[in-house]
Amino acid sequence: MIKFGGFPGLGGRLAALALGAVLWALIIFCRLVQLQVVSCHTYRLMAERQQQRTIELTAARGTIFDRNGKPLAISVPVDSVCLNPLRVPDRPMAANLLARVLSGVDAADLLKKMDKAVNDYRRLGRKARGFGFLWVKRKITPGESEAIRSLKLDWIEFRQESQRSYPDGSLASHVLGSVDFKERGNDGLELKLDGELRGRSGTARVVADVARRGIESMMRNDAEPGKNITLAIDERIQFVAERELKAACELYGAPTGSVVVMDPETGELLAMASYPTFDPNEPPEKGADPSVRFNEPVSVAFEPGSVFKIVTYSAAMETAGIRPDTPVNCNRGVIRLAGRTVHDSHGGLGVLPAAEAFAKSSNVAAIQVALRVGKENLYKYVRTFGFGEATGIPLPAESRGYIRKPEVWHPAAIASVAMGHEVSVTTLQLAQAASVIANGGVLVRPRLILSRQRPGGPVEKEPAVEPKRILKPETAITMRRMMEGVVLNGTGKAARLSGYTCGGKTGSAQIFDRASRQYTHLYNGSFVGFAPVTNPRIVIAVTLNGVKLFGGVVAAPVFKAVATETLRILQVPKDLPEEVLPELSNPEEANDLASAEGSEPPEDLGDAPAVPQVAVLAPPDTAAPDRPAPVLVSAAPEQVVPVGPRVPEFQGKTMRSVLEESLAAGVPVEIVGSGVARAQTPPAGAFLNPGQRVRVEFR
Amino acid sequence: MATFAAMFRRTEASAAVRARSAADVFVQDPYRLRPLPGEDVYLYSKPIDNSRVVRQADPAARRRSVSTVAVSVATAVLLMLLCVPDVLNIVNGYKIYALEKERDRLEGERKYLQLAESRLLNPARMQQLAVQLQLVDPDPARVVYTTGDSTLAMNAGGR
Repeated sequence: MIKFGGFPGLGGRLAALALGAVLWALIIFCRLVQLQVVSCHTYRLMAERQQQRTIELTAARGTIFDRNGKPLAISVPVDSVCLNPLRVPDRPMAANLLARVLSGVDAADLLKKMDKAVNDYRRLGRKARGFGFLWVKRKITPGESEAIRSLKLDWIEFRQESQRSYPDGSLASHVLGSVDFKERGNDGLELKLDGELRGRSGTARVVADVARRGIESMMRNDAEPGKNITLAIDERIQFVAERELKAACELYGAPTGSVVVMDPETGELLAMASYPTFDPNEPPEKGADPSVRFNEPVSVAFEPGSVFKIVTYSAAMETAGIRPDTPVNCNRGVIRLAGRTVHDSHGGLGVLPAAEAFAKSSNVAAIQVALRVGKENLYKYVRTFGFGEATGIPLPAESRGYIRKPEVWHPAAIASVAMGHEVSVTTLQLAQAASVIANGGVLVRPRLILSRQRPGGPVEKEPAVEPKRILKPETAITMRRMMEGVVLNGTGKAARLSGYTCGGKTGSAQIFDRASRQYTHLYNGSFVGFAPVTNPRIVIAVTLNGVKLFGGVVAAPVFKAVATETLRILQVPKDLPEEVLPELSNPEEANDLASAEGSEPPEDLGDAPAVPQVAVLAPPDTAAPDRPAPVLVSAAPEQVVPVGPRVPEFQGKTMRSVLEESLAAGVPVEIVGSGVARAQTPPAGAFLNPGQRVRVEFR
Repeated sequence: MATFAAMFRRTEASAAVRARSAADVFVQDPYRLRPLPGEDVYLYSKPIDNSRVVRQADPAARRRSVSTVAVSVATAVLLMLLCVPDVLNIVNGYKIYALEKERDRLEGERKYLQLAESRLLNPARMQQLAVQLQLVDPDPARVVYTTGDSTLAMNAGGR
């Protein structure tokens, strides 16, 4: 027995007390061990769940700018409204209140959803699907957000989301594309560059207080915002291109059309318009025509018609020694080749200098020239100009166009290819080809993107594809002059600019109808041109599909309007005095129809077509039976049978000598000036057509 | 002088009598005020002279006392100092969180303003305004393109 201070009995009680204390301490200790060691993990998880929360750090989608830094597509944060139906004190009142403030929210529908959520919870408890959470309306407007917040109702919650906006509406919609509800690109650049624009979202684990305010970040994977993309597109030029294209399409009843404006030196695409357009701010409606969203200049290939003669003549200059003054026999507008007869749209053309034949868009002349080039060379140059392959522009569904290999060409295919049939091209490819002429013979790939930049990061300039010389500079410059002739004297008069020199080529190709398997009387009317001629700053390609008039009538005026505005916007100094230009009085002057007679449509336009019964030819009055019989042409151009007298050499002779010689040879002459003959048209050696005179200039 | 003991004894002894007599007095004279509670308790101080009691000096105890207080204060300060980083962390955490919120808000606001500006400068709207205000393109002869170069001749020369 323990004795404390001589107090008998105290020792026992104290010992018992001490024992009790020890036991108590032991129990506490055991409990602590249980809490801190045995069940440590469980309780830590519980504490973490209560105190910490993982939040997603959303990566802002990159902005798309035009070349001047104007946003064309931008993501802005917006509020979404949600609530916990279990916390709503008066559900009918809440439904009415929210429906009054939020447009598009139906009170009855919302009440039904809330009631269902509450009933599900009562029935299933925590197993109820999505219990405690209900979206009321997502991506509300700032006004609605303000109105809801002013109600100061604690059962209404806000979640921040992102909304993609296109401030210019339908402007450049085919280039930009659109996004879905989750801001994933589904068209255009938004789709093609989705990975770069979206960035990478991050997560943060934060310690939060009872009011869910963050205190400390425990772990953080920072979000990587999407890259901002700067395009080569100029918003102002794009607007003009779309405005003029729409006006022309509506005026001439074209269901679709496209315009491409390009800087020939750098390949930068200043505008790329497609008709019809759509507003990417509005989600597509069910059953809406998806073709509205086709990017016409990039995705839709068509037979170009006479515009393609640019390639034919360029190849001829490079390989067959054709010069602008080389006489080409237009055979009174008819040529027969491998059992196929091709008519010119202009009747009565005889032997013409190549430049004039090009300006008047003679099909026969183009075929004659192509025969000299040969199908292998022609095919080579078609491919060299970039046809039949994608340009590499970062847009989805780019069409490569189509050109058959020469091995499978039928005997008359060279005639079709020479005038832009049996090939399919896109408007973008046409602009690329015209750029070759405009920049001195160098193929420059179109560029849509100028730079990329991650917010806060360095600017990453888009590397340009190395330009490739495909024509001799002299060939390109000669072609420029010939294309200027098209605008001044040929089928492209409607494209003539006031204050600027310009060159171009018209094209009208019959459209192949899949249903009737025939070429129709509807055309792809095109014009490709550049300005100014001496130092081209812009190349513009215009195509209107399904029109009843020629490219020189429907597309050339679009070129004129767009070029005028573009040159003003780019502040290009004028190289001609201002003058009021006459309107195109006779649409037949612009008749450049590339006859599809006997042509096979390219494979991607249709297969095994029926040979059309009637091709669109010259007007009936010019297709008179008093024409000379068509000249039989075989594959070799030298076998062409001449039809008129050969022009003598007049240069260096006096007026008397010229007159005597012309009388002797039966060649009518037109005398200009006095003195000694210095120039003559057509040149010596050319064959004169009936009714044609030789113009001799004396100085 | 009355001690508490004497007072309690007296109170206990005569409580019943006094209660009865007070009630009688109250009955006899209804206008007389009732006695206040404890009115009959008299407290007074008993002077005690402790001047002769002198505490014996105990330097060791004093030192112990002072050192105990010092250690306690030092421990308290130390504990407080140990907590300071945590407290500062929390305060700064709140600040950082608030600043991040503010940054996000401002960024969102900037984007909204950018969007609004872009909508206002929409070319279609500009054209509409130009038509409304009857604006016309200037006479081409009156337009001089300046590129920032020193002479107009240079401006006219190149791209």
